[in-house]
Amino acid sequence: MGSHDPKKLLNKDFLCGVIMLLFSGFLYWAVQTQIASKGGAVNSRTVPSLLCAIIALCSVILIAVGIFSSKSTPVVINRQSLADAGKTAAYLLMFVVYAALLEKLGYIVSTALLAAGILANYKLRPKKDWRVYLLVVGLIVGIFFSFRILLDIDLPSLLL
Amino acid sequence: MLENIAGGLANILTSPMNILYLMVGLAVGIIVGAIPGLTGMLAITICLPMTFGMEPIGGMLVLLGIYVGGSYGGSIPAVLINTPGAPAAAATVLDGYPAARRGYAKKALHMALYASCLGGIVSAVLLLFLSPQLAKVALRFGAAEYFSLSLFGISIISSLNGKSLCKGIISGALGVLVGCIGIDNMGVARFTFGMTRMMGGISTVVALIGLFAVAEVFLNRKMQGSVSQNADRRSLKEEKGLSAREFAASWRALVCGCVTGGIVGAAPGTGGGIAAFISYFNAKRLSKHPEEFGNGSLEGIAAAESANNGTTGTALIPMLTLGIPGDASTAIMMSALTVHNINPGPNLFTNQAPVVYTIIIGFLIINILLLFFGRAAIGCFEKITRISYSLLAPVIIGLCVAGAFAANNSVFNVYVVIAIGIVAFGMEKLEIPRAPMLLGIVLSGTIEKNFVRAMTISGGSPAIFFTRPISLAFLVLSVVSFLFPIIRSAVSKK
Repeated sequence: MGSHDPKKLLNKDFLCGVIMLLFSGFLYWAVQTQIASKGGAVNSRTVPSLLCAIIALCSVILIAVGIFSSKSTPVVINRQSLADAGKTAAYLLMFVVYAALLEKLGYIVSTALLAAGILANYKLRPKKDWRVYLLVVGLIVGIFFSFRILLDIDLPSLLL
Repeated sequence: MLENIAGGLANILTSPMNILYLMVGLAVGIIVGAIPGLTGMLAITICLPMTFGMEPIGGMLVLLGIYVGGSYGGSIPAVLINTPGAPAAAATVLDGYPAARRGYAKKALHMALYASCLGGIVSAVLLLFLSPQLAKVALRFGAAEYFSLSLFGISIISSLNGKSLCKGIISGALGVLVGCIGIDNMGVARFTFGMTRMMGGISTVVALIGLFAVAEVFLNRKMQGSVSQNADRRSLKEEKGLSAREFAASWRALVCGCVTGGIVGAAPGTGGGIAAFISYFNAKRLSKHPEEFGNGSLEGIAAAESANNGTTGTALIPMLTLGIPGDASTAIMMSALTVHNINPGPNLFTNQAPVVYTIIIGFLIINILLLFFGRAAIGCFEKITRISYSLLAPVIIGLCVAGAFAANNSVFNVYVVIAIGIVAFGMEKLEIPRAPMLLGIVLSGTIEKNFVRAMTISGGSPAIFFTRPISLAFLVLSVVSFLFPIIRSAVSKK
C-alpha cells in the first residue's frame, strides 16, 4: 500500500490534522491562561474547552485519514510552488501593512496605495494603464464621500 | 378579520404617501443590502429617528420596506462577488457565486429575486392568518430547544459542506470560538490577550466580510479578466434570464424554503441566516440533482432565498403578538411602534386592529413590489460581472474596509477582516469549508447562552436536552445529519 510511502504522507488531510492539532494545543493553553475560572461546573471555560477537545479529536482523525487513505489531495512542494507561496505571502503582507497605515494616512491615501499594489499584482503598469489607476482612485474617493455624506460615517482621514 | 384586511388594503391604496413610503423604504433596503458590510438592520437603525415625526403607518412602511429590501439585496453581491451583503444571504453564496462563474449570473439573480418574493409573500400570508397559532409553538421554545436547534443548524452544514465531515466540524467549532472572543454573559473576558479592543468581541458583519469578501480577493490573486470571462464560455454565450420552466423545476426547494422560513422565522432569536442554511441542506436532500449543489445549482439559490425572505413576515409574529422580537431588525421596529404608543402584545390585534392590519397588508404589497424593484436592481448590478477582476478587487477591498470600519467606527475592525481573510484563505487551501465557520460565528452567542442556561436550570445535568421532546427531536436530527455522509457513502458503495 502506497499510503505508507513517506513522500505521500504530506497530503492536505494530514497537514490540516497536524496544524489543527497544534492549534488545539495553543487553544488549551489559551483557555487556561486567558479565561478566568469563575462559577460552578458550567462556567466561561466550559464551551471553549469542549470546542478544544472537538478540534483535537477531529485533528487526530484527519491525521489518521491522511496516513491511511489514498484519496487525500497531495501537497506538491517544488521550486515553483515555493516561489508562488512567497508571492502570496508578500501579497497578504501588503494588506497587513495597509491596516497599519490606515490610521496614519487616512482612508483615501492608504486605500489608494493598496489599490496600486493590487493593480500591480495583476500586471497593470501605472504608465501604460494610468486610466485604470485613476478610475480606481476616483472610486475610492467616491466610497469615502458616499459614506460621509449619505451615511454620516466618517472614515479615517488625513486632511478632511 | 376580513373587514380589517379590506380596511388595511384601502388605507394603503388610497394614500399616495403610504405607497411612496414603502417604495422609498424598499429602494433604500435593496441598495444598502447590496453593499457588503452594510445591512438592512444598519439602514433601519439610521432611518428609525426619521420615522418618529411620521404617522405610525407611514413610519412602519418605510422600515418594513428597508427590512424586506435589505433581506433580498444581500443576495446580489452574494451571487456577483461571493460576498453576502447581509448574514441572511450567507447560504446564497454557496451556489450563487458558482452559478455566476459558470456564466449563469443573470439566472441566479432572477432565481434569488423570484424566490425572495415568493418566500416573502408566503411569509406575509402566514403573518396574516396564522399569527396566534405560530406564536403558541414558538412560546414552547426554551433554552434547551434553542441550543438543540442551533446545534442542528451547525450539524447539517458541517456534514454536507465540503468533502470531509471532520473538516466541517472543525470549521463550525472555529466559528463558535470566534464568537467566544470578548466579554461573555458572566462578565468574564475571553481570548482578549490583554487588548481592550478585543473586549467587545468580533462583530458578525465584520467576520462575514473577512470570511468571504476579503478571502475571495486573496484567493483570486491570479484571476485575469472578469468573473464572466472566467466562466464556462458556452454558458456565457447562452446567458439568458430565468425561464418559467426553470423556476417551476425548483418547486421542491421553493416549498422547502417557504416552510422552513415560515417556521424558523416564528422562533424568536433565530433569523434568516439559519433558516436559509437549514432550507438549503434539506433541499439538497430532497433534490433529484444533489450533486449540483455547491456548483451553481438554481435549486440551492431558490432554497436559501425563499427561506431567508420567508422569515421576514413570520419574524414579525412574536414581535406583534407577544412583544418578543424575532431578530435585531424587528427589535428596532418594535421600538418604532412603541414610540407611537402602539404596544405589541396579545391585545394588539384587538385594540389596534386597523393599524396592525394596514401594516401587515403593506408588508404583503412590499413583497409584491420587490419583484419590480428587484428586476431594476439586477439590471444595474448584473454588469458587475463584466468588469475586470483587477479593477473589481481594489473596489471590493475599499468597500469592505469602509463597511468594516462603519460597523462600530473602529480601525481595529480592519485588522480583524484582514486576519479573518487570511485564516479563510488558509482554510480554503487546506480544503476546510468556510460556511460552517460562518454559521458558528452567527450562532455562537445563542449556542453558549442557551447551553449555560439549560445546564444551570437542570443543576448541571445534560439530561434536560434529552427529556424535552422538541429538544430531543432536534438532537436526533443533528445525529442523523452527522451520520448522513457516512450512510450516503455506504449506500453508494453498495
